[in-house]
Amino acid sequence: MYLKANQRFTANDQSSQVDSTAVYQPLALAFLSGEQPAGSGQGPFEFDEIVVRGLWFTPTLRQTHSAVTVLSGHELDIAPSRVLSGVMSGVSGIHIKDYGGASALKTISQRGLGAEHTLVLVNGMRVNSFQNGLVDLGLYPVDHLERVEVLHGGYSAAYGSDAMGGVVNLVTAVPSGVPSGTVETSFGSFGYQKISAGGGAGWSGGGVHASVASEKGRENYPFAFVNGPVETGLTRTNADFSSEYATLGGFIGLDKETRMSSFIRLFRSGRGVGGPVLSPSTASVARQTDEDYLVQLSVVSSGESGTRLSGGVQVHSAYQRYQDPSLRVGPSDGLDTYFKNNDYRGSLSYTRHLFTDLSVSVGFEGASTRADGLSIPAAVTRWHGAAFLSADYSIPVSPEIFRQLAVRPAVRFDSFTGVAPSLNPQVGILAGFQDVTLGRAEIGTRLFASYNTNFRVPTFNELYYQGGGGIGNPLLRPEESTGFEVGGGFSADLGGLHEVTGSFYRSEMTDRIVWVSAGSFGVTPRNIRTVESSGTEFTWFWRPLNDIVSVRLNYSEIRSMKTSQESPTDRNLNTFLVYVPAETFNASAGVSLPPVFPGVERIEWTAAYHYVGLRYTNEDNSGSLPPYHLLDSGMSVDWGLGGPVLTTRLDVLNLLDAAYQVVLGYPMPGRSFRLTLAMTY
Amino acid sequence: MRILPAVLLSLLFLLAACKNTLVDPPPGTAPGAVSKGVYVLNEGMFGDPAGARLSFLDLLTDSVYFDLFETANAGAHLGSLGDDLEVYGDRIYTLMSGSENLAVLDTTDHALVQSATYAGTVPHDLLIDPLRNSIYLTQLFSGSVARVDLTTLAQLETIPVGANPQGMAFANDYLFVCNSGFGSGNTVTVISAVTHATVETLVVGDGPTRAVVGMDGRVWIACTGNAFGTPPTLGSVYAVNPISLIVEDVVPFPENLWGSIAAGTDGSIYLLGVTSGSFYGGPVHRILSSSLAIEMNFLPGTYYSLAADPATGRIYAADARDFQGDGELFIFEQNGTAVTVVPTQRGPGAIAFRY
Repeated sequence: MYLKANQRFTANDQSSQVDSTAVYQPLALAFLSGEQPAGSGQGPFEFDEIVVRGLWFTPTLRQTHSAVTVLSGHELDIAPSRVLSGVMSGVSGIHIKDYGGASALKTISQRGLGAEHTLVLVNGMRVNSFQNGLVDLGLYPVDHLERVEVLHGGYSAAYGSDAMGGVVNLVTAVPSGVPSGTVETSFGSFGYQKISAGGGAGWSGGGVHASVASEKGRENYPFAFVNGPVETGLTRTNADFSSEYATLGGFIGLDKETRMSSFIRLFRSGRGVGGPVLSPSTASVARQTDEDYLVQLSVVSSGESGTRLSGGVQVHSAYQRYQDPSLRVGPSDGLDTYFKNNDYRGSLSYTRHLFTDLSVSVGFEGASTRADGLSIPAAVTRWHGAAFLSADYSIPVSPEIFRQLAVRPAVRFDSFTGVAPSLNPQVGILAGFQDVTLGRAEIGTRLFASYNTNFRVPTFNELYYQGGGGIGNPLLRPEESTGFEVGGGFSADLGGLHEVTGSFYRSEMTDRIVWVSAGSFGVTPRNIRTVESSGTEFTWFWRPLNDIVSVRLNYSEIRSMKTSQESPTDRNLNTFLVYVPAETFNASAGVSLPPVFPGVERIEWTAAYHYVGLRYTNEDNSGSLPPYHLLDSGMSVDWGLGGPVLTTRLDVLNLLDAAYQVVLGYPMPGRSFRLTLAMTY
Repeated sequence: MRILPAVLLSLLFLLAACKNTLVDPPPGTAPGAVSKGVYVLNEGMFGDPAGARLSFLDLLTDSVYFDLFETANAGAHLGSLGDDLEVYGDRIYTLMSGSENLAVLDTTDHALVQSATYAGTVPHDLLIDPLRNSIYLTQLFSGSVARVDLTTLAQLETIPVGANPQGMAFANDYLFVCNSGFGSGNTVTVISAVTHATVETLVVGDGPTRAVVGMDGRVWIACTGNAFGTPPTLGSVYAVNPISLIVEDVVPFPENLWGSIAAGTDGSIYLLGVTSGSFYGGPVHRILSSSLAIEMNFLPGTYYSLAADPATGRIYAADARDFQGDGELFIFEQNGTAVTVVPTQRGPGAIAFRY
């Protein structure tokens, strides 16, 4: 089984001894990210120790120069929503654009920017579609994830293209090295069914785990179509889905300093595309097929004094087919189109401590991506090369005041065939102050600031599209942005551990690509828009009863505006971007009870509240969708059976049965239930 | 050279506007029962279930009314993507292709008196044949035309035509259906209004989109051309004799056309061209039907829809302003003299007159 919160794994103990202490261990990151846990050999680490692959510094929650959010494996485990989009919707500054139930498209908007402006990684390697820039979060179940790491703000200096609003890194679970097996089945509302099985094995210095799953649902949820005073009860149609996926992960210690790890994911789904509901009789017959295959291999070697050499390769193949027999244009029998992207990439990085206070990282990344399909005239291959250099310098300062004062410059150069290259610097400053004592509380404070430039390379659709109604523009330039962030936070142990962070950010994006009229009944993309985004984010995490109760709150306020006039007759200047909520608020609470009843090993309950504010639906801001409130809750019980553990779990989504839309014309499901039974050995 | 006429035109409008002060009625009010004027069916945004809006220019009071349907029907909406309308007697027939419904309103108060939904057909254009108590609806992706009972709105039959039928015209008991194929089509299906059977399939230029009956009694068909064809083709206009069903004249254009067409009372035929860089129409060109001479850019601008008042001969050209907000309706005399400009709602796609 994967390593979860109820196990402890000693960092350098490759014999995989396990005991049942409820301490979280971020080992996945240790060998998938190229980072050794700080102070290896010193034992297990607290939940807030995180490492994100590819960063040149060690971004624990207390050591970042920008806002960071980590969703631990335990939080993913107990979240009422079992899909990535549902879990991420509670993260500060993130808005999920959701087009319906489980089968519908779900994309991420971070800090008021588009889905193509959030870089999504799996184990530190990019998976954003090169065809359209998007990642459909509905294609990423949380089953095999160990944690989700979210960097807020631009990070092109570390990760290159698309890291403009932020970065999301999906870290897959690490085989525990202990022989294990799990069988799980779920049933739920609207015909939901799932069955999955997984097992693992280990040996001295290595382990492997495999899982398979099949999931389906009718998604025929009821909703109301409202037209003035008339409300018509309807049932969502053509929203069914079925998916199958398999994962295989493993690691092996090549020597005491070197580990090799791998991850393979195969995913396939077929689903109906319900489309917007425009009337009580709207009926869609469109269907979509997705196939996504991912193979990763990485090697990390850690030497003395923090020296580290890491490298990885990835093969990612994505295929999507869209069919709508009702859309007959000219002599065709309906719309039937597809695209396929094959991406091959590798990266290599080297980190060395030059002095006690200075470490330097250098790295390279290369990729070849091929796009094929009916929306581009001929197959296209794009080559990409990048080099990055960064440093982490701790300024010698008065230890009476400062615990740490670090400066972190970084720069990255990216070159793509057919597109102008991009050079992006970043500099971050972190000032951590020595703890002060107030009464019985130890309070640690920090301030941070960062400045960054970022970019997004145009997608294949933007460059080469030639389908009905539009044409690509091979002369497009990368979008660019410049931003800064200032913030601070404090930690205090007062009636439990508190972590509070607040930040203000501002960025300006230029040359934003927008599809505009091209005359002759077509549209074409152009670099014509300027967008200014600013906002504040506030997070508070509290564990009042050590490991039993946890509370998390976050609030974000976003102003994302179009500040360019794109034609002499364009009257929409200084208007808010569409579908960006003015504010969001999320609150969650969890209770995890240790064994208190005979036969019961654990009881967990969690509840999550989401508030999403008003969103404009058109560029002149004359139309809008109202705010909505959602409440989710879940409860699970682990029954000890003298060896294996039986888990029963009940999740309720949208407990208040709110009627709402995230996107105009796409009704969302009301209250829904899901029952899960799992047997774990 | 095109800038100067536009500047002069704007100045003329400025002067004209000063002569006729536009009254701005309070929201939620409606024109009087005996008003006469111009209806505009505004499409709204694609994907907006409530985007279609009906506005009205009252020529008696120089007032423009928005949201006529909502005002009269307790806030209910027409539907999605208002594409065509026609005034017949004391009824207004409005057709929404997105929500696939036909809504019939009373002209006195704009209350909904009748409605029907034609699910799965994407009805796009309508034409009323009162003599045979029929309404014809083109079914945009089905390659067919539906005949609907004018009294009950029940669909009576479906008549196969060519791909992506759009505009229609009625002359000599024949229905002329433009099979656009979105540029790839090149036929017009002629249907007998008596037998409801296809009697002829005329071959015309690429992209036949809209048709109108001119003062000469002939059916004039606007062909957009096929900008995406191999090779690309330009626009053209065909004149068909509705008695012999023979193409009598072809007027080729030096560029693509938008597809909208209107007939002037002086025998002129007005077409919308395509403005370079715009996806939402173009200037008004004119054909002198007596000589077939073309006057390019007769009315400079970027207009999305076009109509000519059969009573006064005035030309009504609506600018959608890229669908980024409310549009504008420009009014000209037959000789091109500007009269005034009034606001419309988003996407002014169809114009009809009420007397």
